[in-house]
Amino acid sequence: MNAMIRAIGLLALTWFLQVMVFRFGIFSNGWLVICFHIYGLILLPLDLPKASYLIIGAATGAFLDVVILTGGLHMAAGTFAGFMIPRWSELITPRDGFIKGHSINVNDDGWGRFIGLSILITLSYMFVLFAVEGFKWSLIPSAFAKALCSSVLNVILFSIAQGLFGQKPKTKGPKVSAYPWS
Amino acid sequence: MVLFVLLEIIALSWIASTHAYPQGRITSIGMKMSSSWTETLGRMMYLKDLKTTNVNLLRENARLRTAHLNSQKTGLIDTLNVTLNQEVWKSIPAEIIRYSSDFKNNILVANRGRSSGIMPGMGMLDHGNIAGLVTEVTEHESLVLPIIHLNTQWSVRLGNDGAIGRMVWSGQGTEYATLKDIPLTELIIPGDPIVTTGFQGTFPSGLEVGKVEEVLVTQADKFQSVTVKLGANYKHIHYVEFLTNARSGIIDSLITLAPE
Repeated sequence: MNAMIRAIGLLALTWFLQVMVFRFGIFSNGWLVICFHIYGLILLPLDLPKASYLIIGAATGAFLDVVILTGGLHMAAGTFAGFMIPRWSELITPRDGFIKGHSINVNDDGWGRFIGLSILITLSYMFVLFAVEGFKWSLIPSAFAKALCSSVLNVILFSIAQGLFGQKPKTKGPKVSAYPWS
Repeated sequence: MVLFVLLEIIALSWIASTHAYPQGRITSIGMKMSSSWTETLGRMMYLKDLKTTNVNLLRENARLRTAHLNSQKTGLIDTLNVTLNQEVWKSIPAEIIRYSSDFKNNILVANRGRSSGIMPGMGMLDHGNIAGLVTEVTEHESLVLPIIHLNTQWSVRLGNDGAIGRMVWSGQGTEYATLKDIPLTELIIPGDPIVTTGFQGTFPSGLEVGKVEEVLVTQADKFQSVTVKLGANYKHIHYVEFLTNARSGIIDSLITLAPE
């Protein structure tokens, strides 16, 4: 339960940062778009029911659409990302599985798993965002190229956030020194 | 799977309903929610544009001063006064507090709304060049559809007495639009001005839209296309003017009286 509350809090924080700051993060004629709230979706616990990801993804996108007037674009993208999260997380699950309430983090899962899952979820989100935004079959290849560029930028950003604010390794051994004079 | 399809249908319906332009109650709520904090952030962002704005204001002052001096010298002051008295267009200054110029369907939000006399259907100018059309208003904000929106079409004219065509945006860059349906017989030279027709009542006729950049002729049809370099600078848009026509109501009533 604590992990869920923490994850929802983080999602709300990333959503708030997206609305306040990162909404202006659009570069190179729209080829590089920052969607920092995806980081909140990535950090959701990996053992939630599949429907939860869908609802959380859709709601996050819908709230963003209302505030930044994107008329359903982020809701469509969030729903698709929510649909794909359980499938992508299955790909990176270790043989023994994750412990209950586990969220992906560099400290426990390593950079490989973190970046792999991040890029897959971000790519899913970004691809639908650009594809639906273009609303034409002919724009699908450029939507994928844009999604790839934006995903790389976002994952770099998520990695920096993870490195700075992610879970730190637990200190091993007793805090009290056996040699108090040292 | 059912929930996924259902949520996607809701999202896509929402997109379809707002694909032409954002409208309705949800849009109004969003505009109110976003305008307060965006205005503060926007002011900080636009500080860097102050220098350009000042230069434009100085140029505008110089142009007006020159026009005034010229009218006095040539003894045309009486004519000018008569023209001004008959002028039915009124300008309302405003500031853009939110904009997007990097998507396919861009929008602008200005800090003037119903309380300042802004109404849907009014035109917007950026430094004397047409820039957009008001589609939604709240008490203190207005939503503007710029030229750089895939679902808009603008009726424009080549020069002051040239052919009339349909101007659309292709989605490639914010500086250019495409003028279509120009007959092959029309002689077009790069640099020719593109102006408003005034037929829709949104803008007076003869307002600058942009200049001809390139003429595209294909043998496939009897028309040529023109790449137009837009006069409005969407990358630096900040201070704008809304135009209202005091007689548009009377003109509209005449149109409704016309026999079918």
